[in-house]
Amino acid sequence: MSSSVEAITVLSSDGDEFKITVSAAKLSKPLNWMLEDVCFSDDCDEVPTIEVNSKTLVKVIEYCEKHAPRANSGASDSDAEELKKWDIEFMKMDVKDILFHILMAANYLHMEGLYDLACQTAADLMKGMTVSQIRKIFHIKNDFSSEEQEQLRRQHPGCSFD
Amino acid sequence: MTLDLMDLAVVSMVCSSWRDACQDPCLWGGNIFDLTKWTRNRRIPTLSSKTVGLLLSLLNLSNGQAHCLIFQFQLYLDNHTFYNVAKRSPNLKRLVLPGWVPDITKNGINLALEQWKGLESLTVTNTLVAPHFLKAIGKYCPNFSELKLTCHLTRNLATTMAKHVPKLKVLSVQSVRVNKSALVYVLKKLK
Repeated sequence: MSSSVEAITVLSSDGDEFKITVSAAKLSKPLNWMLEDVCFSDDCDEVPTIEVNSKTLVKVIEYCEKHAPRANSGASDSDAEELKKWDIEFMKMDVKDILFHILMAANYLHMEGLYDLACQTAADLMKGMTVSQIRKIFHIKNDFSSEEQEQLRRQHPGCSFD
Repeated sequence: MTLDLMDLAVVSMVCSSWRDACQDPCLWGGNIFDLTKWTRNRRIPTLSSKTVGLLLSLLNLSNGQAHCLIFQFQLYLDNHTFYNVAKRSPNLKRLVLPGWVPDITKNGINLALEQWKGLESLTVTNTLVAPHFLKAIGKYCPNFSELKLTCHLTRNLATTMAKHVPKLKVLSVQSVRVNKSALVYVLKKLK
């Protein structure tokens, strides 16, 4: 059953060690299961590896630590308001370097809140943009042939490409 | 959904895998194509031909999964467009017609309704075309159960209703002029 320790150590896919408090780790379903199944103690030499790279894991843990108190105890409206502001600041990150990896990690770690937040951030980046702006933001190569491109242009008379 | 239909149209043109993703049924199940909202979006041109173009491409993208289609009152439709819209939305359940459809013929209505076999609800805004729609519905749409009128309920319309859609469950005549004997007739005759 759950352990007496306050924090556990996890390994990133790059092999770096990170500390995460137990209450924060509970935000992830797989980590929570692990906590229930394995008794962590100070002399426990078992360090679970998380298939997320170090750079991303730092951000994920930062998110967990910030959200854990609220998730565990419930919070007042003003706290929720403040947390929302924090989320917006937290999500100001490079799309290719981090956001994409955060999405994958939130999916892998079954973290609904972070997953929704990252999806919303990605969606907001698309809103009101033109096709070529979106390609630039998300570093996507246009893989339509010129014929397909022409067909799309005809099919979407109301949309601008540039 | 956090992206509106206009955004989806743009996103679907980014690359082929995004286009595939945009065709996923989970995006379109129960989606409402409300053209009256489009016109309030300043990015969408008010010209009918362009609105229709966008509508057709979105219906293409939805792979025929649209359930509800609401035309704006001023939209111009001809037989050809009407049929094209119907062909791309075979699972339609609810339809709100535009106000004035002078160029849609009886034949055009028949061709379109033949595609919309699952239609359950219709809002008609024009007394003159309503009987033609009801006749076609009687022929093609076995599950039809709800009719909303925003035009006069005339005696002629009442007779057509009783004859062609006798199993009607809901009739809405909110804030329209109603011929009293027509209403009595309809209420008596409908099953």
